Amino acid sequence: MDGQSNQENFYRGLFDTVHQNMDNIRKLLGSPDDLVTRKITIGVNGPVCGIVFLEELTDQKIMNEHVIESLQRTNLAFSPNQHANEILMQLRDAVLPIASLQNVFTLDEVVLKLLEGQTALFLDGTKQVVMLETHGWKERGIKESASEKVVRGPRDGFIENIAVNMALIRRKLMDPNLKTKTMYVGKRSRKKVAICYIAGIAREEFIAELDRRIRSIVVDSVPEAGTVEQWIEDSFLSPFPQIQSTERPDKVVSALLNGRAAILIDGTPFVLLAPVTLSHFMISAEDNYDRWMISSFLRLLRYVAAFISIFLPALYIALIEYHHGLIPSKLAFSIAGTREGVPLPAVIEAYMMEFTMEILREAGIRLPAPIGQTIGIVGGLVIGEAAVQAGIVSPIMIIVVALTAISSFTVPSYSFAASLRLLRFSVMAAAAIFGLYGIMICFILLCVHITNLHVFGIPYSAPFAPGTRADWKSLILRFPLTMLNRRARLTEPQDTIRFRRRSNS
Amino acid sequence: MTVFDYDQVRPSDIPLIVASAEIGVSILTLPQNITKITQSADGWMVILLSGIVMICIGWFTGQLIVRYPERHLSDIATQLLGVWATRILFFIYGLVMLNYFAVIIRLTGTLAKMYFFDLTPIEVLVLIFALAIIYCVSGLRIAIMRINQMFIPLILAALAIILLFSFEHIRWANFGPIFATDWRELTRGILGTLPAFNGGIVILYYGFLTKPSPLIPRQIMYGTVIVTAVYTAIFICCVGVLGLYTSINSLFPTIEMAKEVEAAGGFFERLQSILFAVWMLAIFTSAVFALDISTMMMQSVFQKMRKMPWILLLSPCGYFLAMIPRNDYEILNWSKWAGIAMFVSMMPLPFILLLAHRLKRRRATHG
Repeated sequence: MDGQSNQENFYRGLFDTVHQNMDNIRKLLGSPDDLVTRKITIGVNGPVCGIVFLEELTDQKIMNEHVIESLQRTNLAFSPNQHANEILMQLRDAVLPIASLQNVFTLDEVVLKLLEGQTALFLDGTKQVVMLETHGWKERGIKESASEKVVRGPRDGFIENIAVNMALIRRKLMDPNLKTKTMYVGKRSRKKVAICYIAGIAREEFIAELDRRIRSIVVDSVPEAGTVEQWIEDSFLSPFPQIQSTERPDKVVSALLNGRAAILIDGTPFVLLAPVTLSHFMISAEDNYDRWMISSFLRLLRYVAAFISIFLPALYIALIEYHHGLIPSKLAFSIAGTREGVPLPAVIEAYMMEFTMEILREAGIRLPAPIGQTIGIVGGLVIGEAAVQAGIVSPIMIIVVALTAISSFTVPSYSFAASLRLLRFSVMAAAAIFGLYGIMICFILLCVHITNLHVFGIPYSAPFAPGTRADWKSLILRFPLTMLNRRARLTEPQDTIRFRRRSNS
Repeated sequence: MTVFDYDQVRPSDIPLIVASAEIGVSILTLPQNITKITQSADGWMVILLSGIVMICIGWFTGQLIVRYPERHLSDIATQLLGVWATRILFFIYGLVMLNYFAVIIRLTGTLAKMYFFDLTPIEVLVLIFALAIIYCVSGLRIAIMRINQMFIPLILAALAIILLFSFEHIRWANFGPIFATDWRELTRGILGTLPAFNGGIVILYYGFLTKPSPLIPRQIMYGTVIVTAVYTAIFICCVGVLGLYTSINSLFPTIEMAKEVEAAGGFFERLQSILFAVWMLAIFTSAVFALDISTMMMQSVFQKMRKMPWILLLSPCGYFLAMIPRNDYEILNWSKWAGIAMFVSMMPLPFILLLAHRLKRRRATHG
C-alpha cells in the first residue's frame, strides 16, 4: 500500500483472531458503509468464523445460500484439539460450494480481493485467510451517458444509485487508497453525499475544505448535483462553471488519479469533480484512449471551435457593419452579392438568427428523441432556407449561425458550452457598438475575469497562466502516454510521479 | 478559504512577464524613432546595444529583488533611503506613471480612430479602453501578472506570423549602406531607444509577489533577450520592406509594413488588423502596469487611502490628461517625452537602492 500517509491507524499484517482482523480491515478501509463483517458459528457446535465482504460488490444470493447457509448447516464434526488451519482446509474442501477460492496470507491480498468483490473467511487461531469468489453487482440500468458520448472508450455511465456509482468507480480503480467520506445533506430529505478521493495523491487540506463546504450546505433537500455545485462554488457572479460534472466513470477515475476529488450524490447520474479550471472543460474522456496525434489534433480543434462559438457572429457583425475594408476583397464582393436586398442591418440579422437557433435547441431538448430530430431538420433546413428565400437574412448569416452552433457542440462539457453561448450574445453586443475594437475589449475583459477567478485557490486560467509547465504536456496538445510520467501539477498532488522512466543510457 | 498556493510568481514565469511588460507602445513607432536618428539601416545595432544595456539593468533589478525577497518596494526604499526621500520619490513616480497611463490610452484611441473608426469620437474609444484597464487594476495584483503571461504568447505568435509573411517582401538593397553610423549617432540612437524597454523595470515593483529564488536576475535577463530579438526582427523587416525613406516618414512604420504584406496568395491582404489587435493586447498590459504602479506609489505615499479609492481618483485624472493633446504630432511628442521621463526617473532606482544597500552594509560591518 504505497503512498499511504504515515498517520495510518491500522496494522499492516494479519492477526490470528477473527475479531482483530475484522477491526483492522474496517480501520484500513476507513469504515465504509458497504463493508460487512459477520461472525458465524460453523455447524451446530463448531468454532466461530468471521466473514468480511463489501456488500454492494457481492451477490447477496450467493452470499446467503452458498456461503452463510452452507457454513451454518454443515454436519462436519470438529474435535476441540483440531488446528485452525485444518478446519479451514476442511471448510474449503468439504463445505463451501464456491467454485473459485484461494488461500491468502497477507492483508494486502485480502483487501485487494475484497475490493474485487470477494469474501474473506477468517478463523480464530490462524493467520491464513480463505477468499471466496462471491462478486456480483447491480448492472441493470447502466447505460451509455447521454451527454458525453465517445466513439472509443467505455460505454458505462453513472445511474441514480450512489452505491452502484461507487461500485462503478471501484470497478475501475481497485486501489485500497481510494477513500470515501460519506455525509448526509438536506435538512428534511437527507441525501447521501460522498467525497471520493485517493489518499496519498489528493491533498488532505483540499479534502478537508471540500468536506467543510459540503457540510455547510443548508437546504431542504438536494434534488440534483447542481444544488451542491452552486452551494460550494467560489463565485456565483462568474458565467463559468467552477465545478465539473460528468456521467462517465472513466473520467472520474482519471480525475481521481490526478489528485482531484469526486462528489457523488444519491439520486443523480451526475458526479461532480473538483477542483477544476478552464482547461479541464476542453478535455474529452476519449483523449486518453486515442493515439496522441489524433487526440492532440482533436483538442486543438476543440479550442478553435470554442473560439468560433464565442466570436464568430460578433466578427460577422463587426466586419459587415464597420470594417468592410478588412474582408479580403474577393470575399467582400461575394458577401455583398448575397446580402443584396437584405433589409436588416447585420446586428439585427445576427441576433435574430442566433435567437432562433437557441429556441430550436431548447425546443429540441423538450421533445422526445425522434421528434427532436424533426425539429432540427424543420428548424435548420426549412426555416433557414425560407428565411433566405424571403430575403430576410443572407446565406452567409445562415452559415455563420450553423457553424457557431455546431462549434459549441464540440465542447465536451455541456455546462461550459452553455456559458460560451451566453458570452456570445454579449460579445455580439460589443461588436455591434464598437466593431473589432469592441471584440478585442471583450476578449481582454474575459481574460481579466478568468485570471481573477479562483477555484479553491487555483487560478481558473491555470495551467495557461501561471504556467505549470509540466502540465503543458497534456493541455492543448496531448503528448504520447509514455511521456506523461508526472501527475498534473495543478492540484499539487502528494504523489507527483505517475511512473518512473527507466534511463537506459 | 483557499487551499492551493498560487499567490506568488514563480521564477520560471518571469521571462514572459518581463517581455510582456516591455513590449508596448513603442513597437509601432520604434523603427521610425531609430531611423530618424541614425538615418541608416544600422538601427539594428542600436536595438541590440540598448538591449544589452537593458539586460544589465535587469540584472541589477534582479539582484535587488533577491536581496530583499517578498518585500514591497516602498519598504525597501524606506529602509535604505529614509521616509521622506522615499515619499517624494514615489510621489513623482506616481505622477510619471499616471502620465504614461494617459499617453497609452490616448494613443490607443488615436490608433483605433485612425484605422477603424472615422466617426466615433475619440473620447468614447479612450473611455472604453480605460474602463477595461480599471476593471483589471481593481482585481488582484497577481492576476495582472497572469494576464501578461496569457497575452504574450498570442502577441509573439501574431508578430511571428506577420514577420514570416513579410520576409518575402524584404528587398535586401534597402539595407545598404551598412555600418555608416558614427558613434555619436549610435549613442543618441541608444538613448532614444532605451525608453522602448521601459517595461523591464516594472518587475521591480512586483518583487514582493515573486517567489524568492536566486534565479530571478537571470530570468529577468531572459525576458529582455526575447524583447531585443523581437524588436530587432521588426526593425529589420520594417526597413527591408518599406525602405529607409518610408520608415522615417511614416507615423507608424510597423503598421505600414503589415499593410504591404499579403498572405495565402493575396487572399488575406490586411494583416495590419491582426497587428492592431495584438498591439491592443500589448498596450493593454502596459497601461495596466502604469495605472497599477501609479496607484501603488500613491498608496505608499498616502497610506490611509486604500486601493480602490485611489484607482477611482487617478483614472479620471489620467483620462482628462489624455484628452489634452490636439493632434497626432503632439501625441507622438508627448509619448516620446513620457517614455523618456519614465526612463530617466525610474531606471536609476535599482542602482541607487543597491548602492544604499552596499553603503549600509559596509557601515554595519565597520561600525
